[in-house]
Amino acid sequence: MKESTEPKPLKSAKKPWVDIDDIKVLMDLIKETEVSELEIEKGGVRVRIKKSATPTVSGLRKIQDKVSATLSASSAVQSPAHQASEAGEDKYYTVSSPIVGTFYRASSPDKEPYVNVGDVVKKGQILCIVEAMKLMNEIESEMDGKIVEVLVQDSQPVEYGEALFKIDPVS
Amino acid sequence: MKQTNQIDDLIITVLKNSKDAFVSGQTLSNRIGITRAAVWKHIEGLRSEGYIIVSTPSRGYKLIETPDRLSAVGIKQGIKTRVIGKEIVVFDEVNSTNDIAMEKGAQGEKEGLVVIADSQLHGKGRLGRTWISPKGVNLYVSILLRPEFPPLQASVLTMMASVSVATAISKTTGLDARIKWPNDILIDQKKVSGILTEMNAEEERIHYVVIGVGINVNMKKEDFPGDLRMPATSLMESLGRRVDRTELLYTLLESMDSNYEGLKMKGIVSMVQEWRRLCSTLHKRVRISLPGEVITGVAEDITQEGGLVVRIGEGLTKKVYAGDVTLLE
Repeated sequence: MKESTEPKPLKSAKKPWVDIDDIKVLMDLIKETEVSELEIEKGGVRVRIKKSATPTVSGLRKIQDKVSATLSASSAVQSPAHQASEAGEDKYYTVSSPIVGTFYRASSPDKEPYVNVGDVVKKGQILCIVEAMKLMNEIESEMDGKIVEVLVQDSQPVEYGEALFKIDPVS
Repeated sequence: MKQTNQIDDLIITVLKNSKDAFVSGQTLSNRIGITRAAVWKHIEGLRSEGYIIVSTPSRGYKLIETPDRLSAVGIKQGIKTRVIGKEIVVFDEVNSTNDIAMEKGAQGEKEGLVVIADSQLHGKGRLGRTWISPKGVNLYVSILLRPEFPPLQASVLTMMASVSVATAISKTTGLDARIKWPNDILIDQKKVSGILTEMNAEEERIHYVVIGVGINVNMKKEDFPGDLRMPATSLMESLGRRVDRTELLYTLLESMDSNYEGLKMKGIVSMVQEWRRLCSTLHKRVRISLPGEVITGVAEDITQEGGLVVRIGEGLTKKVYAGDVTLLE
């Protein structure tokens, strides 16, 4: 379970790990080039910036959130299996939990799982539910692809940022 | 799945607005843009649904009594909200109001949409459980929201919903409605309302959230099934008289709306305080069924994410984010 009980503001107003201006510079940089993704490491903090097809107003905030997600994921205790797969299979996309909660593979205990290993999934297809305080969070696939690995067992607690699935994207 | 007839609603609005005066068939015909014969047909239809409308050939129609029917027009007229309830759809019967609101969310409907049904065929509970949803007596309400904070903080919406329901019940009936962690509403330790929130989100962004609320309003004791998971009651059973569903609904939507606004302005902390004030689980001995284990202890506090901090031994606490809680004292 998560140890931090500090008050969390609604919007990401945490002290930035990387100067916000640095991120802006990077964003401008990437905007002018053909590069679609950029990852840098500075003082133990990794920032990945990805160019989206349609620019959004909340783009900057998303990046801030992404920074916090990366940090939290790297500080969480990870299973050896998870670490190994991260090292060797970079081409796979990892679906992570957006909340602290309980992981469910089906909509109810007597139903079939939403997805199994080997299933081909479409962007927007529901992969699982993570529940926190009776808030049932449907997690969708963000891409077309194939389920390579299910990393958490049904009805198990998951941390924020914990890896749930590995997907082989359709290229 | 039949949407409540719009012409019927218009007729009722005109009749209600004229208070105690008669409205002629010609006036109704002009105002609504249908023939006088059609007006007569609709009046007959309304009468068969329980509206008491008197008519005289020389003076026209007058509304005497409205049945306990959740008409969209009645609801919108009495409501004072900024976001929630700007759009309200009312159904006689649906599978689940949450399912409809989730579909509307996927289709891009604006936040604040409220879906109401007079009865549900498959009222949804947690993990495929059912919510008993008979016709004409209770409230089944689903609210579509698109909050701008990250999914990690979404559990505050569950707190917001339970605070709003408890407040609306207390305001409307004077009953002491309390929250059992995380979001059951109890009166005298009996469940009167359940809340099921469903969310569609990416890692960093909420697409949409649907807050589903079921309240047992005028349901009779003998209509509760015998195999419920915990003791249940209705407002009527606890109060000893019927409660106006529309009035309760207005109060609920207004309470939800002002709490949602407050959440945006003041942040999570104020909502957590309000939740604590209304919560009956804190400082009690509890038993919690988690997937694969059962723990007992004293519920000490809640975290900012809404987790329950349970003291399970000397110097040993556990934070719980899901599970079924039973109060032991």
